[in-house]
Amino acid sequence: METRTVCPYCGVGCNAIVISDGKKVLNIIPSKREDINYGTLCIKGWKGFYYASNRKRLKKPLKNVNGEFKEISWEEAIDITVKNLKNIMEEYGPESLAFQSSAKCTNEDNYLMQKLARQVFHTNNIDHCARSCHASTIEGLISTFGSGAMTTSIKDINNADLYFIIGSNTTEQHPIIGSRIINNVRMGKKLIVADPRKIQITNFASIHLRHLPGTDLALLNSMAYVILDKGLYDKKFIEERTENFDEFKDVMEFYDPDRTSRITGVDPELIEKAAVLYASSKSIIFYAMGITQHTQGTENVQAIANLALLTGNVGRPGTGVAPLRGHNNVQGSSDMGALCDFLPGYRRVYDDQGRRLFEDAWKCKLPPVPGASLTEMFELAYDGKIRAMYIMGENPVLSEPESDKIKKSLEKIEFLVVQDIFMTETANYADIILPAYSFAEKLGTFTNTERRIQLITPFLEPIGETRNDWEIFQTIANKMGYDWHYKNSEEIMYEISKLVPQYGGINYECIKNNGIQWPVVNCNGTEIMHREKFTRGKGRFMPAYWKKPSEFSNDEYPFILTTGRIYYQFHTGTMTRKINILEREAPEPFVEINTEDAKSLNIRNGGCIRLISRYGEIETRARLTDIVPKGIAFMPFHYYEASVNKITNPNLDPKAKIPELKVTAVKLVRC
Amino acid sequence: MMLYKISKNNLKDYINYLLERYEVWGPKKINDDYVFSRIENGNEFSDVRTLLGPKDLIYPPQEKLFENDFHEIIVLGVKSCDFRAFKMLDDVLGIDNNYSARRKLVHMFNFVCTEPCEFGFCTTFYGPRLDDFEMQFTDIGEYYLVETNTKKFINNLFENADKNNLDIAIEKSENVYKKMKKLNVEKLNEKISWDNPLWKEFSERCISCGACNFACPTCFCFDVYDESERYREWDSCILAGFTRLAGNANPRPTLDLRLRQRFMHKLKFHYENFDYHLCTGCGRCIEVCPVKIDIRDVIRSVGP
Repeated sequence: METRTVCPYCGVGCNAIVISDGKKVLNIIPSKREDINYGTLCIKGWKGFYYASNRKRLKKPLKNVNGEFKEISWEEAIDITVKNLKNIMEEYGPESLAFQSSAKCTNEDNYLMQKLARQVFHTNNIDHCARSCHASTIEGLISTFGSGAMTTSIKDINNADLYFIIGSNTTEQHPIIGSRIINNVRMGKKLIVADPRKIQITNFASIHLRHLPGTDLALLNSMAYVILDKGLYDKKFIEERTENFDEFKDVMEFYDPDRTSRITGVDPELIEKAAVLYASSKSIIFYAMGITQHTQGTENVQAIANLALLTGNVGRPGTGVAPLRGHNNVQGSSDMGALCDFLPGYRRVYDDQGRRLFEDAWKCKLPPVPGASLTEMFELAYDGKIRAMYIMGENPVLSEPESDKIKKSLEKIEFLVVQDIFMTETANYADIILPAYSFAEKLGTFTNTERRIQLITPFLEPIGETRNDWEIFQTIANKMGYDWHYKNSEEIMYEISKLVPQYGGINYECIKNNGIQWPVVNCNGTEIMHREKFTRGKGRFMPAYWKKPSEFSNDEYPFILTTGRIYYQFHTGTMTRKINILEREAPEPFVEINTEDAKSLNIRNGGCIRLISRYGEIETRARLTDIVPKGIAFMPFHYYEASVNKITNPNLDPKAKIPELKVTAVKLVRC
Repeated sequence: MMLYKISKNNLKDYINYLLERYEVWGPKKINDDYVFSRIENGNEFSDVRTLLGPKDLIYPPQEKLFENDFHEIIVLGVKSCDFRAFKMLDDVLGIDNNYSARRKLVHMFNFVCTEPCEFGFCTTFYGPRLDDFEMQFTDIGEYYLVETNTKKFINNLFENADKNNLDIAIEKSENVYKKMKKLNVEKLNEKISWDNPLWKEFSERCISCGACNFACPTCFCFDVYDESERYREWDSCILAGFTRLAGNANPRPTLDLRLRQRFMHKLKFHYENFDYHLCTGCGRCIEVCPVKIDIRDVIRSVGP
């Protein structure tokens, strides 16, 4: 049997054809479609689908009986879940419940989970990992353009003349987009990379800006300064299509390259060169967590949007702003309103008109104030205010900052349900574990980083007693007295297509071939957004002054620790660490430190090193390299053996509530 | 050698005839892609070059060891480059139980190309027409010419063919020889340089996806692992773990050295051990490479 599907890892959304016999994957073949992966896949695509038939898959509902998980029937599991959620809600109010949705699950799953939280349990305490990756993108791009997503398409990369990558290790984290950029640069296009680390794609950069972590805003502002100073801005575009230019100009005045150089550590001449190159080309800016995971994450994103507005580099082919999304469906799960402050389709929960639409559709009252964000949920649980939590397909014990506190919060929670495909570090704390389908068994949709809604069809038969995520929610809703009666995922999509304007009128028939990029009208998609006008009308300049990150190196903590993913592993490793070749390539945690720093600390390559921050300490192996500059350490967060999030900075961007994972002050000692 | 021909209109019925007796695989269209998959109905077959060959049907990407049931299958639409590759794999994997068991039971019918493909350079090695095959099909217009040494798969849908038909088939395949530039591989094993600057250049853009190995019809390396049972899977010499030893020592610690190994093995070491290059010129490694690392550049780099 052959099935076309979408890769379940990063947000590029590569298509592959899976040959299977229903029980296992026999072969994986990249799709040749030119608009996404042109017959290629990265190693996670080639090797990474096999987890679906891994023997460690959860097969039956489990109940925690004095620390041991015992198999129980679905009926009992649902009864216990409903009884506890209901009792806690009735006794302590809806705000004592919290729900975590998943960017790994389909749009249909996400839509129903947030509907479960909002309609059935009357709370906006619904969030997911988009909070810790692109919440600042949503805020930042909505305030400037009106829509928080990539403005252009993957295919459109071929039309640009210059790529400006900031805070994205593109070849490792979005390898097929990174490769497309490299192929274009080899044909004569230009590339600017701003990243403290000497990542692979800098091999192709005409300019590499190695700014200090947490100084992105100053750097971007300074580029705007140069563009303004040299008169390289697009006056016509600014006049006709933007607002708030004067205020923007005033703020930028502060950022002359000389002064900015002292903040960022980047040679003023390089800033100037980069700014001139960007302004004088048809350019796309790519960014990822290096921009968003900061206390000024929203301002960072806005500064990127400002540059695009300033030079008219948005809304036409070969230009745009491209936030690279890190999960197969993190765009979609955000679109579906699995967010504490947005209803589906990015309607703010406090927007009366938007809320009323859903109140009418769902025949209920909805809370008009934002719920607790992902990071705040654990804070509230720690304080005893959130007493029950329902987590689908996420592993916050490894993925969220200051994880010791998260573990304590989970211990305090009276009732925890985890719905997943494998046992996880988080599921260890659960009272009830519900075994779900993986992407291999599901029919549904994923939305990739370029807003393309793509259909996935099952290629494996369900394992054991596993169930579809959305069906589990439906059963719970029914038990709670709500008459949900979706016969299949397409019926959920039908409801979505009525309520979410971006997905207006879509159905499986019209997306089944190549998917459609939202906003969709009558099954016609949009490749390039903001063409005639911005989604919000005029593009708005949103200037801000750079502030020091919430932490910076000092005498006590002289190093800056920055975290991220590596090529062979994915997120908390729940999937990739079960794949032989991927695990073989990257079997253990490590921290990259500069060779010279290692010398002065007397640490050898592969030697044990202790990292101490204000929040805790961990031990791992040192990897000596010149990828990181002096004074900076980099560590991946995939590994439970040395979970770097035990020591990361939990301070939040006040607007987007995203933690500043990219800057933690640490002390390094040999152990 | 026996010569037959079968009308293209009858090919569908022939496949249905085979389907009554065997499991049949061949290129199928899935949306806009063609992949080797199981054929349930004669209509599903397309005589098209697929992105990946059918190596997986004899040597699966991942397999459980020690318990296998093997059965007879027929694979249609195999390209000669992929077919020829099995002869090479035989020299290396012939002693392997699973490989040799499948090799005996899987019948590959090769379909000769009459137009060059975008990345192929098979004329450098064996070209689209082979002298050693099971059933060789060539598109000669309204008919396929079928060359074979066995009557096992011949039925009443076939007609006898003559020398004229054969001449047309040869001429059709000559088209590929005419259009596809032959690369010079004479003394390549001696001329290819250990210090070729290409290794470094390739390593700057290689994203270590392993696609060149996975798509290669002649790559045979595998890794064995245990997951309560014993499995093996296709490995890739581009990956650091391929040669990593205990204590993290690695004889090929950097990507340029691993890329060098891949090309040296194909174009020098294997040649010196077996008298042929471990390459059929199928061009698949180029096509599936995200950053278009091109083995033809290596061959050309040693001079005309």
